[in-house]
Amino acid sequence: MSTLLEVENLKTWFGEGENAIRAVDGIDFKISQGETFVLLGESGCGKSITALSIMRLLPPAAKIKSGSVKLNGKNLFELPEYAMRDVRGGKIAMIFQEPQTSLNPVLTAGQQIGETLQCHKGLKGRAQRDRTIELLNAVGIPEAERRIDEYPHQFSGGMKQRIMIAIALAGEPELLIADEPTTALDVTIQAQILQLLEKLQQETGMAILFITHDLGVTSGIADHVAVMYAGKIVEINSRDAFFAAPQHEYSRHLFSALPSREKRNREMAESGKENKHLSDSPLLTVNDLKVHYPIRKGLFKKVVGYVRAVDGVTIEIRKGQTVAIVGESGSGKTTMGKGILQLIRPTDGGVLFDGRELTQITGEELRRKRSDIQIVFQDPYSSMNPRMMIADIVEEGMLAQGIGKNRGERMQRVDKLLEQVGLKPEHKYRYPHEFSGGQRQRICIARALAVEPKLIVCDEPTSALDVSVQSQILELLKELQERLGLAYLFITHNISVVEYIAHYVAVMYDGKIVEQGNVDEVLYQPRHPYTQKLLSAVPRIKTAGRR
Amino acid sequence: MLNYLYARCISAIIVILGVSTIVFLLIHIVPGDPVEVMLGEAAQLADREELRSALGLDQPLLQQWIKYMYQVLHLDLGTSLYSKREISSILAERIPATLVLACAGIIIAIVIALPMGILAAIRRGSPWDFYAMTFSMLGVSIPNFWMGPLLIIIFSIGLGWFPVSGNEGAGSLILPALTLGTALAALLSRMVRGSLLEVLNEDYIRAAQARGLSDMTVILRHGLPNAALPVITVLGMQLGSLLAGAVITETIFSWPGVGQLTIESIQNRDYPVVQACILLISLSYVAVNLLTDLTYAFLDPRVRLGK
Repeated sequence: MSTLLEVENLKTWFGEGENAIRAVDGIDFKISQGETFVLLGESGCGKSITALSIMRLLPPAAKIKSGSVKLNGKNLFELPEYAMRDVRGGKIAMIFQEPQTSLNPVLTAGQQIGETLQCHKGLKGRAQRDRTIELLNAVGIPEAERRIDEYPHQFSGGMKQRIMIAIALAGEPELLIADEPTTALDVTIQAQILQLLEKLQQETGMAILFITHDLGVTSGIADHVAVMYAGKIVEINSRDAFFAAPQHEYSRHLFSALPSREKRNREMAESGKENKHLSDSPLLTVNDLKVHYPIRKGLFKKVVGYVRAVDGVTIEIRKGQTVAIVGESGSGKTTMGKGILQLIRPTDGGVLFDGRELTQITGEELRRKRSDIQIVFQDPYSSMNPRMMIADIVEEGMLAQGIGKNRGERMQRVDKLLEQVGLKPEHKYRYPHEFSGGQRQRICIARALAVEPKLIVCDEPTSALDVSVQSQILELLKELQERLGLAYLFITHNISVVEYIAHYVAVMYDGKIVEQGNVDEVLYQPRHPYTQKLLSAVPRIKTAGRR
Repeated sequence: MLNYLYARCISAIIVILGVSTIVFLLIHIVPGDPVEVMLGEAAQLADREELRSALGLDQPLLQQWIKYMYQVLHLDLGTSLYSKREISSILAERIPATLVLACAGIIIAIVIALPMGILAAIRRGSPWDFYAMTFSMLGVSIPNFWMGPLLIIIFSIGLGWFPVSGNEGAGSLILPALTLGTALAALLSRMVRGSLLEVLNEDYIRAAQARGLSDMTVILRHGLPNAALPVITVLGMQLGSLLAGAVITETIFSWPGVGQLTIESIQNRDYPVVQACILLISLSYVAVNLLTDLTYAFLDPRVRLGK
C-alpha cells in the first residue's frame, strides 16, 4: 500500500522561547492508504493538537514551529489558505469527541451535510438533497427522508455522531481523522459506531487516523499503533506486535494501569489479605426504591405522566463491601444514588441504613445521619468551590457535623486526611485549580472521609480521569476500604473497573436492576439479555489475531 | 410552535390584566385625597365634587375597576384634566413621534454595532478591536443629557446643519436618533463581540472549519445566528425602554413623543394622562417581550420545537 499521509518532524508549540509548551515535539509517522492508524495516549499528550496541526486548524496561541505534513506527497504547510480549504472536508475530514456540541444547533442535519456537498461537490437543490439522504442511509439513520429536516437536539448522542460521520463522508475524503469519536458515548453505542466506521472504510477505502486513550478500542480497530507521551511518539508498531509485546516503558505502564480481574487477583495473591471488615449483616438495605419525576404539560402544568427514573430497586450493601451499579447513561444509576442519600426524596420504597429508615426522617436528624453516607462525584473539576481553599473545603463537613472542638483540632484532622489520600499537609492552603484531576479527586475523597462515613457513594469517580490516574484512585479507594472498613456503592459504566474493585454487582437498565450477584457470576455467566449485550459491547484487548 | 405561541400570548394577556389593575389602583395609592392633590388645597368644594364624580371616585372600588377595564378595552382612557382633550387622541398624536425616533435609534444602533462587534470579535486583540471597544466604552459612559447638547452645539449651532429642536421634518430626527443610537450601539457592539467570541469557541465552529467552509460562511451561517440569541434579549429590553419614550432625549430635543408627554403630565398633575402613559409604557414592554420570545423561537429550533 502506498503512503497517503506523511508527518515529518512536526513541532507545534504554545508560546515562544524557553517557556514554550511543546505540545507536539518532533513526531514522525506515516499512514498508508486504507489503513487505520491509531494515535494512543492520555489527555494532554498532544494527540488532538497533532490532528489540528494536520488540518491547520490550531487555536491562535499554538504555532507550528517546524516539520511537514505531506498528503500524497504534497506538503500541506506550503498550501495557501484557500487551497487548504479544499483539503479540509474534501481530502481530509474530521470528526470530534463531543457529538453533542459538534453540530450547529440552529441548522438541520440536512443543511449541515448539504453545505459540505455544495462546498466540495458543487451539489445543489434536488441533487444535494438526494445525496444527503443517501449519506444518512449509509450511516444508518432510520427514516432518512423525514429526519433530514430535523435539528441536532432531536437526535440522540449516537445518532449525532452518525450525522457527523455523514458530514465527513460527504466530501469523499481519503483520510478521516477521528478524534476520540466514541469517548462520550455508551459502550453499546460505541460498538455500533466502531462497526460503522469499519464498514464505511471497507466500502470507500479511506484511511482513518483514530485518536483514542482506550487500549480496548485500539485493539479492536488498529492496523498500526503509535503511542504518544508528552508530545513525542514513544512507540510505533503494528497492532499485533504492539499488543503481543509493547516495547516502550510507558506503553507497558498503560497496560499495567488497566483495571481487570487478573490485576485484582494478582494483588490479592500478593498481599495475601482477605477483606477483614466484610460482615454478614447489611449496612444499607434499599427496598423497592422508586424515584418518579412528573411530566408536566400545558398552560397549567398538568401532570400527564411520569418518568420512572428509578423503578423498584432492591439491593443490599454490607460493611466493608463494594457494590457496583453498572449501566449506560440514563439508566437511573445516579438518580438511585441521590435517592439513597435523600438528596432526592424517593417516590416510594425504603432506604434502611444502619437500622434507621432514612425516608422517614427529616430536618436535623437527617442532617446528622448524612455524615454516615458521603458522595464522591464524577467531575472533580466542578465539584469543588473554586474560591475556597482545600483546608476550608475539607473542613466544611466537619463544621456542619460538629466534628473537632476548635479550628486547630480540625486542621490537624485535615492534615491527617490529606496524608491518608496521598497528598501533603501543606497542600491545604492551595486552591482547587492548582491541582491535577487525579489530585482533585483525592481531595474530594478526603472531603468525604472528613465526617467519618460508613458508606461512600462513588458516582463514576474515575471516568473523567486518565487510565494511569484512574488506577491510582481505585487503589486508594481499595486501600481506604481495607483500613477503615468502608462500604462503597460504586456507580460506573466501566466494566473493567467493576471487575477490579467490586465484590457484588447490579446491572441497571431503564430504572430497574435486571441482574445482580457476585462479580464473577454476573460478569462471566450473565443471564439477562441486556447484561449479555452490554458485556459483548465492551471492547476487549485481544493480544493476537486479525481485528 | 403553536403551543409555544399560545402559551406566550396567554401569559402576555395575564400580565396586561395585572398591569392595568395596578395602574388603575395608582390613583388610590396616592397619599391623601387624589382630588385634592390634583386641584390643590384652595379648590372649591363644588369643583372637588365635580371632579370626584367625573373620575368616578364616588363609586365603590370594584365598580370603578370594572368601569375602568371596560373603558381601557374600548381604548377610552378618559380626558386630560389639563387640556380637557381625550387622552386617546393626545396619545395618538404622540405615539408616532416616539415610534419614529425609537426605530431610527435602533436602526442606527444595529448598523453601527453589528459590523463593529463582528470585526472586533474576529480580529480580537487587533487595533480594530481596540478602537471598537474604546468607542463602546465612551458610548456607554457618556450620558444622553451630555451627548444631546454636544450634538446640538456642534451640528445645529456651530454648523447649522440640523434644527435645534422640535419635530420639523427628517432633518430634526437625525440628532435625537444619533444620541439614542450611538449609546445603544455602544452597548450592543460589546454584546455582539462577547457573544460571538463565545460562539466562535464552540466545537461546531471548529467542525464547520474542518469541513472546508470559508471564514465568511463559518461566521455568518454558523456563528452569528447562535451569537444573536443573547444580543436579542438585550436589544428587546432596550427597544422596550425606547418605546416607553426616551424621556431625557425627548426632553432635550423637545421631541413631541410619549416621554415628553409623561414628564409634562407629571408636572401638571394630570393624573389620568399619567395613568395612560404608564399603561402604554407597560404595554410596550409586554409587546416587545413577546416579540423577543417569538424571535427567539424563530432563531432557535430548541425553543421552537421543545427540547
